[in-house]
Amino acid sequence: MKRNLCIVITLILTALVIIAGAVLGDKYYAVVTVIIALLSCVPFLVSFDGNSSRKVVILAVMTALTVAGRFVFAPIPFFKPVTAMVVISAMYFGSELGFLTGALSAVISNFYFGQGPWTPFQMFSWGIIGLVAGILSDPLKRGRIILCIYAVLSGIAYSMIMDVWTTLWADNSFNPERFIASVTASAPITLIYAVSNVIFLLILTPLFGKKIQRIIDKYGKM
Amino acid sequence: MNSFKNLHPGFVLCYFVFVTFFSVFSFNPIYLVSSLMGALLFALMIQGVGAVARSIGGYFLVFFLIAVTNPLFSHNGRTALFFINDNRVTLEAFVYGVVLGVAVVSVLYWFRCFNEIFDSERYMYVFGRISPGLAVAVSMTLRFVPELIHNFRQVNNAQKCLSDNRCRLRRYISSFSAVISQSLENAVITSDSMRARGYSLRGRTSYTRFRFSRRDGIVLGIFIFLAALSVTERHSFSYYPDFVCSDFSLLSAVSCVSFGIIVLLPFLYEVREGLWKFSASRI
Repeated sequence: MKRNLCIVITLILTALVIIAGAVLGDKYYAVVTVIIALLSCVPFLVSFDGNSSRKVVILAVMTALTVAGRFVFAPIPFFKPVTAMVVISAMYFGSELGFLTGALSAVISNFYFGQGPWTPFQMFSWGIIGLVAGILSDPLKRGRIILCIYAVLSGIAYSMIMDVWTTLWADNSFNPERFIASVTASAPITLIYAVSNVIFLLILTPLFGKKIQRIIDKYGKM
Repeated sequence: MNSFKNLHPGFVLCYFVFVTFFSVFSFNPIYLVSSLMGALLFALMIQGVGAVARSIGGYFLVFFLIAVTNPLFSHNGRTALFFINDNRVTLEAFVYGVVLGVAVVSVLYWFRCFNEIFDSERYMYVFGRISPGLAVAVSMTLRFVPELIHNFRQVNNAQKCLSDNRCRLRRYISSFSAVISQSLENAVITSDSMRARGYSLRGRTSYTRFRFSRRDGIVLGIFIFLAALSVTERHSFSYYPDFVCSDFSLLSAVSCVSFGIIVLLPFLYEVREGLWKFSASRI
């Protein structure tokens, strides 16, 4: 009951923020988008069922692995297993856990790397990548080609969302010219994201599949 | 030099949200410069002169990039300075870029202070308010991260010592994979053990370290009063197509002053605590 109320309030707040942004004019794009990115994460965070100890611990471990991955691969710039880990977590444990792994990894890894106005956008984009991967989990598990396509697309999507953020912050309004400029400037990074996602997903997915199967054999259902 | 940290995390969060949002909301140089000064003073207080001085170069680069690129992308404004490829480069766009640069840098400094003040315990508090289950997950994550990194180093060093000649990336991935197996298995054991100790039973209570004390109430009251004053009649300033500055009235001057006090709040609080400690030491 309390959860449903929270979700309804979040929806109303989101609508109010959008209306307020529209009424106040185009000066406030950056602030409005930050608030909406944050609000979009609230329903998932609120509706998390903390009573199942399995779920809590799996979420903690997957998030910790994601954050640790960001640390461990720190010597290689932009080449990070974060997106791949979020996708894997969603594939094997469902949409909800995928979204939460993405959103929490963003907050907690920025606890070490530095929070900033970009945190809500990272939460949102990793969360959404996880959510969609959870919905597509069956086809993703079946074909390696679909997995590769999703890896490339999520790398591009992540980079694009962050470019939208850069544009909004540098201009305080959405300037298409600047957006194209920042997309072009970040093209090499986008490429590294896409390639690293493909590599990590191709290597880690079968590994995870095996490890999770082993644990199911040993301890019963996850 | 960090008494502000000891205030209630809910209040601290409200304070930072208000200050950063107000800094981006107002495109008025008066508010922005006071916000930047406040953030710098706060950073100097909690991090010391050395750390802040070292950081200035990077922030200046951000400022410079925004200030210089804005006139290249935005051609609004009445006063054309010169032309590049038939595109007007205007004085207004340049000034707007400088103002935006100050806004972004001041927000970055506020976040720098936020990172210093908001430690894991305060994160736990915030997540605990959203959902207690989430707070458990976050606290476990915060424990797992250093543990996993430690395990990774151990495995990786062991592999190195076994005269592993593979390239760095392949060694990293295989060490990472070992860490994954280890931690997945530990996770299942931990969750079983939690259930065995009655984790999922009803009527669990949760522990919070922070209480909303009278001191927090007083500071919050002052903050809300000043915030309300600074919002009521914001002094406005617009850039395109011409610079337009609204007239100063008594209320808008009050607004500027109260925002100035708000950004100095951490400093003033520090001074007050310092005075109290000084007078206590005289007894």
